[in-house]
This record gives sequence, structure tokens and C-alpha cells, in this order.
Amino acid sequence: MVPALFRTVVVYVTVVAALRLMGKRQLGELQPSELVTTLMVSNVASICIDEPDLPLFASLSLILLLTVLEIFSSTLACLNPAYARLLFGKPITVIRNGEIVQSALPQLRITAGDLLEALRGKDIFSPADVLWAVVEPNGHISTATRAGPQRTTPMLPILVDDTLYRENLSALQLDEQWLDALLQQHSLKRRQVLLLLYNGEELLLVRKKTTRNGWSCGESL
Amino acid sequence: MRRNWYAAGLLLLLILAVYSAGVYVDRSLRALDQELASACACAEQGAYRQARDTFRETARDAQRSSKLWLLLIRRSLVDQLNQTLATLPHYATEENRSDLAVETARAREQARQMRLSFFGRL
Repeated sequence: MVPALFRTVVVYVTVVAALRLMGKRQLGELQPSELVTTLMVSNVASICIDEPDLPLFASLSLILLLTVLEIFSSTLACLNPAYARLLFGKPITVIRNGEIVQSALPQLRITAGDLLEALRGKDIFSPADVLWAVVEPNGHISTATRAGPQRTTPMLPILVDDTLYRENLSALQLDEQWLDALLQQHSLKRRQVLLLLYNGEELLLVRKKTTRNGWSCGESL
Repeated sequence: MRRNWYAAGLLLLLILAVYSAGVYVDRSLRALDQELASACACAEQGAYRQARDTFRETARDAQRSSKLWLLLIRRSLVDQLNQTLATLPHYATEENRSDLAVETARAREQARQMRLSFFGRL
């Protein structure tokens, strides 16, 4: 009994410390790899508490190793957009200009009913009211509704961290030549852009900035 | 960025801890095996009192090492070894020579299994 109590306290402290070290990302919306890490950590922790036969050091080592792997993996994802796409996936457009992109539904393995349900959860009762809707890699749906009489058109992502949203370019009746010309005006290359949003009128262009530590962060132009 | 340094520190600490644990398990089990072999050799030469003392000393050493072994190796394996070691001094008599050989072989095999439990097939 006493060893089990001791193990529980030690495992509890270790798991709390591990989740704290992994950061806020782990506590909010989980990406697929983060979900796997969280599930594995909780599983190892519960096995360690349940099985007094297992050595404590082995279980704690596994929890800490998973923590280290998760931190390094998310850092690599920040530094390398290609790895981030591989790890987290890419948002998939499901509604464009009020029309459901039907080819995206089998790809996401969701039915039109699931989509309408998700829209109703956001107080939207018709896909026709939606300008653009995407299913995020964490499974949530994000929507931009059509501009009302007093609202401005929502900004659509065009280039985010090396990822080009061709469908948004086409929706705005633009092409890659327009994008390259725009970047040339700002003396930028695609890989130097952190974020480019556009709605046909307004433009938000955020350049990647390299700090002394070699890290990139946004700088609005 | 600071989180990455913590992670790197943690990884380094983990590697050091696993390495030290490996060295400890290897040395302690090797020493145990040698003590068992020498105690058994004493018994075979007829020095039963010396064999009994060596077996008792080995059992005491194993009890002391068990505190750390339990953190590193499955409890059932450590318990089995300690149970076998506790019986060995009682077999170190003229009339129990064959039993002593069997039980010593069992203890050495249990120590080998403990080693396997930590290192795998390395």
C-alpha cells in the first residue's frame, strides 16, 4: 500500500512537470502528434501506478523521454515548415463562396450532415452564409462568413509559413504571378514571408524576422 | 527557446542516469555472480563453514543492492533472487552438496535474468 501511494505521488509530480514543460499547447487544442504524446504519457503513468512490479525508474524515464521528444519535435516543426506539414497536416477547405467543396468530404471522412452540425455549432445555419470554411488539422472547423452590409470581407490566408493557399488565390481571382509580383514589390521571397492575408482590398503581409538567437518571428509591414 | 534547453538538459540527465544505472546493475550482478561461484567452489572443496559465510555475505549484499535494483529491475525478479539467496547458506553442508549445486545454479540464472531485464539482449 505505502509503495503504491509513494509511486502515485512521484508519477503525479512527474506528469504535471512533464505537461508543464511541454507548454500550453498540450493543454489546449491538440494536434495529432501532441494527442499521441499525451495519450502515451498518461498510459505509461497509469501502468506505472497499477503495476508495482514495474521499476519506477523505467516508467519515469519513459515519461521524461516522451516529453523531450515532444519538445524537440514541436521546435523542429517551428523551424521547418515542411516537417510541420508532415507532422500536423494542412487545413482543408470544405466551403468556398457558399458552396460545399464536395471532393474534400471523402478526403476528411465526414458527411455533409457532420459539416452542417459543425456549422450549427458556430450559429451558422446555411453553408450559403459562409465565404470560406476549413477543417483545421486538430479537427475543428473555422469559418469566415460572407460580408454583411456593414462588415468588411474577411481576410483569407494566401501564404502562411511557406504554405501557399492556391484555392484562396483562385477564389480572389488571382494567381501565383500576382503573388510573386507583390512580393517583388516588397523585395521579398516566398520563404521570407511569415503570413500574407488578403481580401481583395486590404493586405496584411508579415515578414519573417530573424532574432539574435536565430529564431523567426513576425514583423508586420 | 528556454524550453529546448530544459529538454536538452533533461535528455542529458536521462542519458547519464540510464548509463549510471547500467553500470551499477552490471557491476553489482557481476560481483554477485563471482561471490556465488567462489562460495560454491569452497563448498566443493569441503570448506562448508567458509561457504556458508560467503553465501550469507552474498545474501546481505543482495539485500543492500535491492533498494536500487527495485527502481531499475522488475520487483518479481529481485524477490526471486533474494528468496533463493536466503536458502543457500542452509544447503552448505556435506549431505546437501547436490541441492547446493542446484540452488546456486538457480541463483546465478536468476541474476542473469535480472541482467536481461535491464539490458535486454545487449
